[in-house]
Amino acid sequence: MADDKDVLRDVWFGRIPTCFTLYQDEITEREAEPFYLLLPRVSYLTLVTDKVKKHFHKAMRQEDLEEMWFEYEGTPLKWHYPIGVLFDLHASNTALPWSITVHFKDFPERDLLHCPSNSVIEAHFMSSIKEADTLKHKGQVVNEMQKKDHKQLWMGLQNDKFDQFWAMNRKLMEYPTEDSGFRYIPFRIYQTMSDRPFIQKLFRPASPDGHTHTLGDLLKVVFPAAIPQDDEQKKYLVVVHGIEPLLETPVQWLSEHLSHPDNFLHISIIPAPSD
Amino acid sequence: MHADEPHAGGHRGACWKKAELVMRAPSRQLRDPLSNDKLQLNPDSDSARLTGFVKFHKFMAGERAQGMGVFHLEEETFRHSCRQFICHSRALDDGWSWEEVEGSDEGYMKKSILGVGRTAPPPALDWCSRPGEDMDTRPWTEQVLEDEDEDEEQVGGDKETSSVIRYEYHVLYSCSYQTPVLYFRASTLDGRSLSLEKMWDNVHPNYRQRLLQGPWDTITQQEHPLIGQPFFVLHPCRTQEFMRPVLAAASAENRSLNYIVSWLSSVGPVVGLSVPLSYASVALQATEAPK
Repeated sequence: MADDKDVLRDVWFGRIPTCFTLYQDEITEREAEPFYLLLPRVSYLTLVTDKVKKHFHKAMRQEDLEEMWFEYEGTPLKWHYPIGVLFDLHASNTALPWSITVHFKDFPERDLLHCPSNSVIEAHFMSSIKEADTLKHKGQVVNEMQKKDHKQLWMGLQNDKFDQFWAMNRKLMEYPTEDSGFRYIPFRIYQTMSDRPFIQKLFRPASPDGHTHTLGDLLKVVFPAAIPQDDEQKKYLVVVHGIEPLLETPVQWLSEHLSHPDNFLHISIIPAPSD
Repeated sequence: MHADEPHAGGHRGACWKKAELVMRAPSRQLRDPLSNDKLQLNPDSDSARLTGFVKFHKFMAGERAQGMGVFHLEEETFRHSCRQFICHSRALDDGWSWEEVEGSDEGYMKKSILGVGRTAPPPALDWCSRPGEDMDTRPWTEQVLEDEDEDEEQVGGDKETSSVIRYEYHVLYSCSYQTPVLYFRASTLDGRSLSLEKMWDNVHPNYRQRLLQGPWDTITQQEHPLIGQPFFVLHPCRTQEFMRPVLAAASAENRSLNYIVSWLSSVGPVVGLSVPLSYASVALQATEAPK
């Protein structure tokens, strides 16, 4: 069970200072000043950018407004990944604030999911929680919850209420005391080196003989290139919530403490800076 | 619903006529076992689709009677079932193939169909027509009627036309749910994606009405986990539930069954994908020549 509340709070309240700038080819009626915002790492871009939308709408004509989408250095940003994952994956080498370009035209149909309303984000969020619980407890915990319990998880995230969210989420983090952890660890490993957006496999918190599995063990199975060989320079950084956890960290601990609110452990693998 | 049936009426009928290449005109009348609505089918091409439909209801009805046995699909069995499926597809020449994911042993089964159907105005407009509003939870039929009205109000501009549409179907394995998952999308030949509503327009109404009363509950736009592009997905979280009675019956009768054939003939028709009856022989072949 999650017992290190300080870690949970630090993860929840992680913020990324961001500067939103309107794309140069958007037609404006008056000058559109950049807009600054502290983005919560654990939330979703389209959930926390109402103010950004309103700000730029004021400078534009109604007929030029289509669905808003975001881009960083030519890469369309997938709103359905947590903000922290997008930053770690695409921009962790950048100087702050993170500079995001805002578009209202030419929605990239082949790259991004549409997000016409917050209920689409809610459906995506709840579906991730459900999938994670299927891995952790065969879905039994999430299925035993009531509709209002599901709402509490979502409202906790939407309104940035740590206590409200964790009062319910701790149930999803429990496991029988006789077990060494969850049935499987819900994780995704992201990288930008190929078209495949992420890797997800079945991985248990311990081996059949009771040996605790670590982050290093997980990478050995799923992404061996990320483990530095002896006397070789580190080629990749393995990043979760902007930090590089020790490879000796048990995956069960990571899953309970460093998972996003969607209950998945999102791990970014990025090329190490070459200096 | 037949394209020329009077109650199909007006432009609705016209739309079905355009979709005919995909759906084919039915010719014999039966009744939907649940709603008692008239069902029609072409004895040749549509029988497999109807079989799937009837089976689907049986699954749902049998659900409560069956025990809680474990009927998940292992990844290796998934690949094996797909191999058998594709083998039969080659014999029929109906277009299924296997796509490897570079640098891994994973992959997916894939088929593309060209059909004629209604196409949308530019999809971005289509999706943004109700920005900020909560998702539409009314019955699907009402939404369509309203959309139709809106279309009529449009003068010139984004008038809908019939054109060639490419339908893509991908069958993937979900390790979380240990089931196959159907991903699909439709686009015009110049690459414009069709919205979910427009895709429905080209699917047989019997399936839409019965099985998609809450389409947003079970079908969402999601990222294809192997190629990273947006697809529509039939959510897999209830697949084990409705496959359980089929697998239990097969195992009780000591009969071999190809999971992919049984599953795809049930869910495929919902999204305009038919599985010819002869695929039923795939499981028999498997009995004769086990792997």
